[in-house]
Amino acid sequence: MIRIFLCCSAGMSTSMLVKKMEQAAAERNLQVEIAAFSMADFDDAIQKYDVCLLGPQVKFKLADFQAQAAKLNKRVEAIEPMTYGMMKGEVALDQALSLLELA
Amino acid sequence: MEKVIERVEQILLPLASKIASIKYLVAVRDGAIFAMPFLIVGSLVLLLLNLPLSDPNNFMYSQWYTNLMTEYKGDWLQPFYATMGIACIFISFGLGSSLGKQYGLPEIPSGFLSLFAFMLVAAPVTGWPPAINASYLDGKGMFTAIIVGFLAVEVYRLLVTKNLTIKLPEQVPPAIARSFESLTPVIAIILILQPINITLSNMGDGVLLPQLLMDLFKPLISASDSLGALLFIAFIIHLLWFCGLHGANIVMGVVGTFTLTNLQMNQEALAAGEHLPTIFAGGFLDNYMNLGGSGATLGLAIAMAISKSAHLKSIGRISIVPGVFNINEPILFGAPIIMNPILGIPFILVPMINVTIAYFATSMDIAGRVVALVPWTTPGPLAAFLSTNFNFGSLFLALGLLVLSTFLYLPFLNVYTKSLMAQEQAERVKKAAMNNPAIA
Repeated sequence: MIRIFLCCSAGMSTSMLVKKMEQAAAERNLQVEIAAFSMADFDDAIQKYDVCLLGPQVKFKLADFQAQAAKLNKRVEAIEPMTYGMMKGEVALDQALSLLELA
Repeated sequence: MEKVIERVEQILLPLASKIASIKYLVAVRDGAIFAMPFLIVGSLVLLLLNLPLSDPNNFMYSQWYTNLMTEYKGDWLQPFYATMGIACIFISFGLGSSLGKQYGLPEIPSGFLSLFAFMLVAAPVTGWPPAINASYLDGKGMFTAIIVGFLAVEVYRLLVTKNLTIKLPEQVPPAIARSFESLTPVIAIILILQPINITLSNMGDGVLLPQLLMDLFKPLISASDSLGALLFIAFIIHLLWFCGLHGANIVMGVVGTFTLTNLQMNQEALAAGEHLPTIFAGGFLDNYMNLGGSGATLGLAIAMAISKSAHLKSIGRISIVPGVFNINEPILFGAPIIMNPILGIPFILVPMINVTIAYFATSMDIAGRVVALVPWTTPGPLAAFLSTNFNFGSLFLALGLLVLSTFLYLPFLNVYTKSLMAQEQAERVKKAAMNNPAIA
């Protein structure tokens, strides 16, 4: 089971992308758990999940979050603005998976 | 264009991330977030008890409601006092625990130390049986809660890092030893704050620290309730968003302190039956500026959904429903508006026009003033109607601004659509040429 979480200001707009990613995963028969959290919940979420994708609008927290994730040997990356705007679940899922393979 | 974006990002990103990582700002925002459910429900209770139905001059006057309130209003005030009436107790604990957590200190003791410091200066006990004077535990205590809360956690941190805690011999069980460790910060906070209490109470008629701080911050609070402040805040939020950064998230920690204090003044006036004093209170920006999300993009989303450009049409379609609930990242990043010079112009100007109109309409009492908090995801016109105690002027103002913002976006959208369609056409020709080399 792969566990991915998305993170933005309140976890609202990322929850839309979560749905699209779940659809993409279902089409590929991938066993994944995907969730969206607010930035305040990052500390707890990074403990439980394997990888984090950050909404581009909160990219200003990227360095901070990457440092925290590195302590747990986990990775965080920001989602490309266009991927986010178009709600491309496929692309975001691929991004999360590629982060895990490199980890 | 790419280069410009890169430059702007190089300058703004480190700045924004510096601001976003200021621990004090994060703590204030977290404190407000923890308190929000209590404040929202509490202000709805206040609304239900003060509906405009018992004013004989109002066309909605109703006898049964007036009778009901004369009979039962007193019974239902307690939930209001236990929420909005002690707003700063929630905020104080919340900001203390957040700051403590950021410093790697235990959260709950940090929260309690902050709350303790606040109660020490803001909640004088008098008489027998002892009664707490709660007049500064509501929004009026905001600045005090913030200042002494930070002080308390800083003292705690200092004592822990300098190892200045009470040490007991090794034979003492660890659990008991730990309970003594947390004594020193409590003592230190008393030694710092109680002399201030005593000094202030000996001055003239005697004042409380929160009273003093409110007087001190008064010029700043009244400056916050002005058109200039509104325009400045609207501009900063949307400039940051235009650069791809969550503007509201970055500035609302500070702005929220003022809007909550202003809201408190309105609620007090409402409960006392007086004219409401402040305009920029509570969710004023959500009511009239964020119609469909930052930039008032709901109308734009609808216009895009019927656009001739295939790209804009698909973005518009996925944006309408979230837009109703003030979420518009798909439009911001998808259209895109971010770093798009054509749509960027109305994106920054429309909110400023909206707040200007809303400010004047409210100051002339055409629209009502905010007395209640509603969740920021409440659709704009509905939020305006609810938060102003069912004021029809506010409802129509929000609806009018929604229509106006749509029309202001349209000419820019048309220009952008044309440029996109030319691109889409060029791509189609290219594709056709690849499929059928004979044409080329």
